[in-house]
Amino acid sequence: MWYMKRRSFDTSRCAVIDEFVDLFWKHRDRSDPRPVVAGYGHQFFPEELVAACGLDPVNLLVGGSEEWQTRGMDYLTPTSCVFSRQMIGLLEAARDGRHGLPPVKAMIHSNFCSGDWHSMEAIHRYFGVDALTIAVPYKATARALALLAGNLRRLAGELAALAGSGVDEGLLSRSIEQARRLQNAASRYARLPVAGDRKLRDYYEIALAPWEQRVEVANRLVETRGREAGGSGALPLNIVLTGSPVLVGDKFSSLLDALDVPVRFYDFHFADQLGLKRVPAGPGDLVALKRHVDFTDPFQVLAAYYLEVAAPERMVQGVVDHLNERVRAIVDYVRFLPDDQAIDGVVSHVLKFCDVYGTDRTPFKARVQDIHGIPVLDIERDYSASSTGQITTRIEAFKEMLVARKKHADVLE
Amino acid sequence: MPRNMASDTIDFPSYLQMSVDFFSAPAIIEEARKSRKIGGLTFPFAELLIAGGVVPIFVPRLNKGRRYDVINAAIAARNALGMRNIARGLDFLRSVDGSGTVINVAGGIINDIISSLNETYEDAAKDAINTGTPIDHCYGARALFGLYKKLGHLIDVNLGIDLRCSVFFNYHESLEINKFVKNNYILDMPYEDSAAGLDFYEQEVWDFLRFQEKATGRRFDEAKFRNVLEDANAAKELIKGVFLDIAPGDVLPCSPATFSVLNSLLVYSQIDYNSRLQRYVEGLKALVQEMHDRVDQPSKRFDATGRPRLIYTPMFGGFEPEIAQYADEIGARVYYPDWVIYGACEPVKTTGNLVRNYAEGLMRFQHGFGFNNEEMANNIVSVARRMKADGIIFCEVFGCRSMCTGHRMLKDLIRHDGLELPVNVITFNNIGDSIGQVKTRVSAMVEMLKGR
Ligand code: SF4
Ligand code: SF4
Repeated sequence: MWYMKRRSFDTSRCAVIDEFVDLFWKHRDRSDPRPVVAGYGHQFFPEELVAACGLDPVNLLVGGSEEWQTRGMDYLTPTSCVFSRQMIGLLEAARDGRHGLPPVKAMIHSNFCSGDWHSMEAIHRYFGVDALTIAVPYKATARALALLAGNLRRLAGELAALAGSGVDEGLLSRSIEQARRLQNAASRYARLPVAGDRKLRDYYEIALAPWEQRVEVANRLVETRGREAGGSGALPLNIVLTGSPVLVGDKFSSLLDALDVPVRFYDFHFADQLGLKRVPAGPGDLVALKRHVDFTDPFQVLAAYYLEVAAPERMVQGVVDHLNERVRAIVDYVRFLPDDQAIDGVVSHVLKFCDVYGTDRTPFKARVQDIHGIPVLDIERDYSASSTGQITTRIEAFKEMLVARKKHADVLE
Repeated sequence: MPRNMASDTIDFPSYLQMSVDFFSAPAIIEEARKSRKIGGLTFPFAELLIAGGVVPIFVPRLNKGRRYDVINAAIAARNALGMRNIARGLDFLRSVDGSGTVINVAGGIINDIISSLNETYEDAAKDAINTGTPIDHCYGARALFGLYKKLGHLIDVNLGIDLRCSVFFNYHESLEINKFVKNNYILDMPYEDSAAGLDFYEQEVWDFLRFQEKATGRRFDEAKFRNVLEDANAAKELIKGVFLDIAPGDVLPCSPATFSVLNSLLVYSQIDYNSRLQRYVEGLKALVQEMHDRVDQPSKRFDATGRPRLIYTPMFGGFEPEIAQYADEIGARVYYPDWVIYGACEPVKTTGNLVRNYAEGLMRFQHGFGFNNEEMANNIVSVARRMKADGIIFCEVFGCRSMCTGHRMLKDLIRHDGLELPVNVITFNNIGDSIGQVKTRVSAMVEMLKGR
């Protein structure tokens, strides 16, 4: 292709992706690598559908590389979000066979935001990655439901062709049922007093396992961690980390642990949000679309999930404004805590130039603090190391404030 | 006398008329409010509002800038003396400014007003940051956010169009979250180029029309819609003529600097047709006619032979106005054909199902901006060729994560097609921020082109 140019790379291993790769292979046979269909790391990756078509879905939840974020500037703009630039660097490296990733048969090209839409175009054009497009409307309406259900059906046809199989609605229904079981397992897991990097890794282990094994992996982790906790239910602080996802390998996650502010709830789509959200099983699980979904049609069910449940923060003109939805979810995590505990603080993490989580950072902070009285630490950063010192100081100060606040509350009680 | 902005202004009445109409929005809207509802919009789709009996307004126009006194004076002068003598009517400014000849004063007027409009944008962009808009959001989104914060209460209904860029969708949504506008409708336009996609657009348009009816208490009138579309088509055709017939020629109706200002005036005024469509069409007819007349008159035309033509795009989301004047000084010309490139100057069919036809127009606009960067790059190259452009200035707006990501694709496409069409990528954050650097780059480009 005219736009594809090669460039040589250093082939050393890279800390950002090592853990991802190790966890990916944990439940697979390294000696028999099979191609995968990859997601961009976002919510709009219909894994249920990919799996139902007989393919191995893996969401590329990789983030944190300063080198890759810089590489992305060659293809986008310096003010494209850090994650979208970094993905270009990652896929450029993957093209050159680095890092032990399995071969990528195709990637799902979606429009969660401008970031994934445009960087996937570059990845497709310049690195020859096949892209299967699924564009999601912005409003959760009956018409959007019909359009998206039709498009998911089309995508299923493309995936089936790729797999040499056919589209089987029965398999998709079973796959959706499995997604719900996974969500149930996640809500049990969320109740355990597990926090910090270990929790994030557990969620990765679940997310990167082959689709048909995920429920089992999740249940096993619930058992193991439950045993380890041995009935103790309290952590010094219950922190929610929200905003642009912090991914395994990103030093920000280990920094929080190192500063003794382990995250209790990772408010990300592949982590604790799994325990809050459900692929709708009946009209009672929906609001805007409740009268419009034919629940015997798995494509409609999936479309309703992506439009109304999966990512209200990315949608417009929902039944309530999307910011309220985000705030409500944060407060909702309390349901996973014992009765005598509360959410102590929220770290709102925005990757530089992220418009989905960046646009309303200020009102988000204001609503969580003013309406719910939960302190918020708002952090904007990129993947470079330069701002670590300043961020460290802010996290330490935040922690001190939370500890003092909690002590004070205990005394009053 | 060599043509320059001063002499152009004083003897180019249709241009002055268009400018005065553009800048007198506060007075026009104040008057219109007495009997009509006012509708805000950001992209050039005012036909839907007009056919619903709503007066359209591109919100930045509502601001009374620093030199609104000049506009008031111009309106008074026009009323007293007629358009042809308006510059003479503004003679009073000489004593106010003490700045020499009438020509100098009159020549400075439009520039002065434009810079006060730019100040409006600047202030709004800064204010948006104070209100919590991220500092790294693009200039256009910041400025519009700030302007809606200040002026959104003046409109009764607002039409937002979800086109291409998620920053823009977020901006539309944040107008609602922050309660800057009442009755906000966001028209969803999925990246879906199929019959189902077109049905979707059509139904969205119908929903907006119903929404507007409810918000304003006025019925959408299909017969009126046809007339509106006919007028709008006439306006688009005339605007296209300026870019595709007049701009490519070697003889311009005025100095290149004035022609650039006129280009930008067309881009911004097309959004709401200066709030009065029929008058706008009449004004455009007079403008285009006068342009042709001037081209025929040696004392009024400008011989631009040998001056490289530079296309500056995208500009509607924020641009550096001084560049055009500078290009003129160093022997080049700068054009702003944004709406021609991005499909907003294409006519809408006026027979059959009009709303469907309108949906097709929206789809063309979506394609104009590009479902992807390759499509957008192709559109830029195609218009550049039709305008006989010698080079492209691609404006990379700081904070942009959508349109501006296309510059790499644009360069690669041009290289691949073996075209002699250099692309100069300049960055823009706030007006005047890096003007020195940008001038150096433009000057190097012009030198290179002249050396060919
Ligand atoms: S803009 Fe935000 S949500 Fe989109 S790719 Fe970037 S980090 Fe992710
Ligand atoms: S395309 Fe770029 S300049 Fe335009 S609104 Fe989006 S981010 Fe801003």
